[in-house]
This record gives sequence, C-alpha cells and structure tokens, in this order.
Amino acid sequence: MERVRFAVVGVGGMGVAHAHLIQRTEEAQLVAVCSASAERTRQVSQQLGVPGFTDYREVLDRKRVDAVLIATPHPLHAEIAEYAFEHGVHVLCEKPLAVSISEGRRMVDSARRHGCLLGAMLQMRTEKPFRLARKAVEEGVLGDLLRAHMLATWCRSQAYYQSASWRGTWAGEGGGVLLNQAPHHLDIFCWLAGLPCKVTAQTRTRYHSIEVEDEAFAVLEYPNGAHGYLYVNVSEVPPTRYFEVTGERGKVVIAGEQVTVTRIVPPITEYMRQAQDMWEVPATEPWHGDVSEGQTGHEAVIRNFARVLLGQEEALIAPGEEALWSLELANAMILSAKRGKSVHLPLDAQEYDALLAELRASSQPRQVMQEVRRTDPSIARTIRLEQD
Amino acid sequence: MDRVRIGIIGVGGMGSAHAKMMSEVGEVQLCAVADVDPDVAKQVGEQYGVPYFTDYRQCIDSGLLDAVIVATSHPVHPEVAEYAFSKGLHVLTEKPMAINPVEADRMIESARRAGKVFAVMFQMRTERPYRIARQAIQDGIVGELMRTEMVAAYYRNQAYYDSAEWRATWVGEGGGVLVNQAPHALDMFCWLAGLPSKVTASTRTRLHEIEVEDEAFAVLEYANGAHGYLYTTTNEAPGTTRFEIAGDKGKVVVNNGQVLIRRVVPPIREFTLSATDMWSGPKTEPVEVEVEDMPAGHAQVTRNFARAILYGEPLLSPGEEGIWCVELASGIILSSKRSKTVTLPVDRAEYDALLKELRANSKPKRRVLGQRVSDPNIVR
Repeated sequence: MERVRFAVVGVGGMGVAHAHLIQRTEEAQLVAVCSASAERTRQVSQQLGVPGFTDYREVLDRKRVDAVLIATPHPLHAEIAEYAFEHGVHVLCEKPLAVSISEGRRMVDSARRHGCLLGAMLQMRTEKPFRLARKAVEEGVLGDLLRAHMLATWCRSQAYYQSASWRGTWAGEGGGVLLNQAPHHLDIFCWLAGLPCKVTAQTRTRYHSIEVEDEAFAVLEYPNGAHGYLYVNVSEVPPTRYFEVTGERGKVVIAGEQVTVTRIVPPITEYMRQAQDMWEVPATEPWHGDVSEGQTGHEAVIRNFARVLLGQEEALIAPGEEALWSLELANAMILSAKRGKSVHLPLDAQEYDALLAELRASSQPRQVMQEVRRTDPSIARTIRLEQD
Repeated sequence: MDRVRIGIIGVGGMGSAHAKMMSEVGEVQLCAVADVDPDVAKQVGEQYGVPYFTDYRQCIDSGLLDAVIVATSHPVHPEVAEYAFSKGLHVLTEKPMAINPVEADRMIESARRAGKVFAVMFQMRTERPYRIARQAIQDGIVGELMRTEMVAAYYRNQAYYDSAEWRATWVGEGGGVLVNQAPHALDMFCWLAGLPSKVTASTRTRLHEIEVEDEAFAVLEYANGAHGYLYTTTNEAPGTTRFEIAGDKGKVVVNNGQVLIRRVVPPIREFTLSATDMWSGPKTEPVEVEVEDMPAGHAQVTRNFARAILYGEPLLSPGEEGIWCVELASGIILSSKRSKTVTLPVDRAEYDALLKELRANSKPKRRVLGQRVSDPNIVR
C-alpha cells in the first residue's frame, strides 16, 4: 500500500472539508464520499470528482477502501465504525467518538478484535500551545496534581440549532455543548490532568430553545483527592478558553493560545514543612520546553493516521482509547446532572444507556426553518476551503 | 478638627504596618496604640512616641482619640469596634470585620446607632485594574449577569501557621483561608458581581497541619439563575488571582491584575434569537474605561476613612459592604460542614451554632514558633 484509500462518510458539514484535506494529503487518496442525502452526495461527488454513495455499507463492503473518515451526526458514528471494522476497514472518527460510553467502548473493542486502527479527529492536540503543555506534563514538570480548571465558551445562535432537525436534540445529538463543541477541550483537559474519579455536575438550558444543555459545569475530584472544576457553554462572547493545571512541582496555564509553564523548586509539599520563615514562599521559575514545528489541525491528524497505517509513524495523535476520556467525562456530567448525584468513574455504562434511552424517548425532531448544510466557516477558512 | 486622632488596637502584625503608614496620611495623626502583649505595646508606643495600652478599653477611653483602626486577630474585631462606637469613636477595621455574621450585623447596627463612620480595610478596592473593572460594571457594560468566577490561590507554609497560637484555629481565627487570606478577593468578587443567593461548597484541609480549611471551593447561583464558581487556597505557588464576570452585554476579566473588558454588540440574548446565519456570532469590541488617578494601598483606605470623618467623603469600603465577604465565607463553611446548599443571607442562629460546635472541638496547637511579623510584602 503506497497511499491509504479513504472514503468520507457524512459530507454535510465537516466531512466535505475532510474530503478536500484527504485529497491534499500525499499519503492518502480520496476514493469515495457518502451522504444520506442523495442531493448532497451528487453535489459533493461532482465537486471532488469521486464516486458518491448514499449507503455507507456499499462503500465499506466492496474492498474499495482502506479507511473511512466518519463525519456523520454523532449518533451514527458507532454503527458505521463497527460495520467498517467488521469489513477490515480502519476508522478515523470525528469527535465525539460516540454518544455514549458503551458505544465508545464497543468501538474500541471492535477495532482491537478486528486488528483495525481507530483514531479520533482531536486536532487540538496538534496545536503548539497544547503540545507544549502536554510535554511539560509528560516530563513530570507538574508532579502530583493539586488542582485542575477549565473554562471553554462558545456562542451559537438559535439559527444554528434550527439549521438541521438533528441539532440540539437528544435523539439527534445525544447531548448539547458537552457532545458537540466541548469534546476538544475536554480531551485536552484530560490529556493534561488525567480523568477525574468523581463528577458532580449540572447541565442547564438557559439561552436557547433546545432539548439539550447549552451550559454545563462540574466539580471534579481526582484519584489523589485533588479538586477540579470545568465549565462550558454556547452562550457567551467573547469566548474564554482557559486551562489551569497546578501540581506540587509546577503549574501550566493556557489562556487562549498562550501557554505558561512554571516550575516550583522545591516541590510545594516538601517545602511546606521545611520552611522556617513564616512568610517565605517557594521559588518558581519559568519552564521553557520546546516542541518541533509541525503540521497542525485536521490535516495533521489525517496525515498521521495515514502514515501510521503505512508504517511510517508509530503512534496515533489521538487513538480511540484516549478519545473515550472526553466522552466518559461528558456522559458522567449529564448523568450526574440528570440524576442529581455525584457520579464515579469509570462510568456505569448501563446506567448511562438507561438514562439516554429515557431522554431519547421524549425527544422531538427539531422544526427546521431552512435546512442548512455548511461547514463552520472559521474552520473552512483555516483549511483554505471557503465555500458556499 | 483638621486631623483625625487615631489609635491602633492590635500592633503585633498588620497593626504595626498601619502605625508605620500613618505618617503617609496627612489627614491623620497616630495618638495611641494598644496590644495585649505588653512588650509589643511598649515597643510600638515608644517607636512612635505615643501612649500605649494593654487594654483596648483604656486606649479608647483615654480621650486621646477620634477613631481607631482595629487590627487584632479577627474574632476580637466586633467587641473592640462595638466598644469604640459606644464611646463615640469612628472605626476602621481590618478584614474580615467579623467571622460570625451575627456579630457583623451588630457592628453595623452599633455604628448606625452611634452615627459614626465605619469602614473596612479593603485596599484591593483602591487598585487601578479593579477600579476600572468596577467602573465598567457600574457603567452597565456587563448587563444581565450570566456567569462569574473567582480563583484566588495563595501560598502559606507550615511555619506561618505555627507562628502564633491563634492562627488557623476555630477559636483563634474562626476559619482558614476564607477568613484570613481570601477576604480581599471575596470582597472584590462581590463588589464586581454582587452576592450570590445560593452556595454549595466544600472546605478542606489538604496540605497543612491545621484545623481550619486551606482550600475552599463553591458553586454559586445568583438571584437571576446565573452560575458562579469560586476557589481559594493557601496551597499554591505561583498564585493565581482571577475574576471573570460575563454578562449579556459584555465581559470583564481581571487576570493577575490585568483587566480586559469587551462589549458585545448586540447583546447576546437578542443576537441568539435574531441571527439568521447559522454560523454568525455577535461582534465584540474592547472598551476603554477611564478612572481618575489615585494612589493605591492601605494608606489610601485610611486617608479615605479620615476624609469621610472630616469632610463626609463617601467611603471606599463601608461596613455595610464589608459584611459581604463574611456572608460568603460563612455560607461556604456552613454549606461544607452541613453538606447542603445554603441560601444567603446565612441563617444567623444556624451559623452561630455551627461556630460554637467548631470552637468547642478546637484543640490547642502542638507547637508554636512565636513569630509576630507583618507580611513583608505589605511592609515593603
């Protein structure tokens, strides 16, 4: 295999951007696109000059592809991925990996059983500030966790939710900001601080007329007892994107694009008992790590996935197992909020499935004024794919 | 009267710093000091050439004073302040004004009855970034409150807590970081965002050998339903001091003293419902807020206090507002100790009962190093 033959399933929104990026990737070749909408399929297949399908099974059945990039609405991810694995096709999946942790775990198991690769489109991991922060964590700069903090806000209008019948519904999305906008940030948060073991959360719908949450916050507890807090919403501008992870040996702060890593000498717990002068504080010094300049964004994730398949790189940027973190955290928050209790991780998948079934049972498809299928223009711009 | 004759009650720690600062304030004259420790009283009295007392009552009764600065350990503030008011003196008290809300109520009431000026030492309110943030909010830039957060992380070592018997005990302080280090931040948070109406909190003792909390966090709810969060600790270096107040019309952030203000056009709620393009968002623009130049710090609060007495200048931090941080701190402690959500204002009787319980179980310290030194950062 010289180039990985890719199909993109789901080309209504982000998928079409991915299809373009695959065509630009040296190690990859776009061989098919697929959308549930016949019209959209025709349009995109013409635009990209590749065959179009309306049934993903047809694409995956015929040994015409090595890998599939899944960019459908999230509730379909699991079913398509499992079908792909059963047919020996590797999967690169948009975030969130799935809607429920049980689906996510099944996907990871299925990939392992069939010897296939499962990667997640968590391209924020390729961005320099986050890579730097992660490097600090990997090098042990933080030491034992003391506190973790994350704020991430977006702004979505009611029109955004009215653009498709699946948006903002339990049946169509299986969650709100936690499943749609926040997964990248939840992923980075877990990448830096690890998964908490206890989650006490609230989800609320304050500014939109939608079924799912437009605001969520949680008080977290980590295995060593450290405290954490996270907050997300889709009702705020200007956006705040802020991570603070403090440890007994150091601290990482990411404010927007700016990362600051500080080392504490000696570690706080040690210093705490040693200091003789009542007003003395431990010395701190900036840590200057370095990471290579590399390709960033969706393109980098696609390329890395292809290169791993071709044996040119060892590790995936975001393997499926790690994509379970943000999903588990999101599920835990919804479960905690809806059941009004603290939830322990690893999450009881059956309990969450039961809740989701309840939420779906009373879910109504959204009244759509005018169906709009369009990639987030801010993403389209960054990948030089301004369209519409 | 052209200068206010001031006495300082409690000159072992911060009080000695206040004594030193008196010379910077033209509107006041240091006329007496008092401290329970005779050596400290004598030393400071002689240093500034003023009469000194070991009993604050004698100091207040001396006829030498128009006003007192109360800088004793916090649980003693109310009794000293009430005594001073009852003798017709004005009071500037160190933060927190009290650790028990019912006592704070009484202090405010005593000041009102006596018709005297009552202020609290919240010098953070004199700092420019915070004055800008406050001005922006007063100008209506934030609009309807949507979200708040406060993170105030400080560092104290074990030697600090071992330096005096009263420190970090329920009897001696009546709380930990919430009543000692955090009051400035809590006051600032309330000055900017107002008091929340509900508090669900945890207080914990994680890294120090002390009986009070060295960490506290709370999920807050405001009267309009807006969510808030606050965190404070003495376990972290380098510290963080961060406030974020997000509203329908704009956002004010003060991050480690750096203030950022942006206005949203049109207001978010209006935009959310009126936008027709699915990917569009409202515009935001930076806002420049002007405030007059003013020196910052303790001396400025003292000057303002004196000018309030002399000329009726409005107080920067009146006693009626000083109670906010008491309300919030006790709400957090009550919520944590009783494992429930607490509605503000805190039920006075309930908190009083809790505090009695905590004090009854308070144990004397195993080791005390006996250092009485003001925070060198403040002295500098």
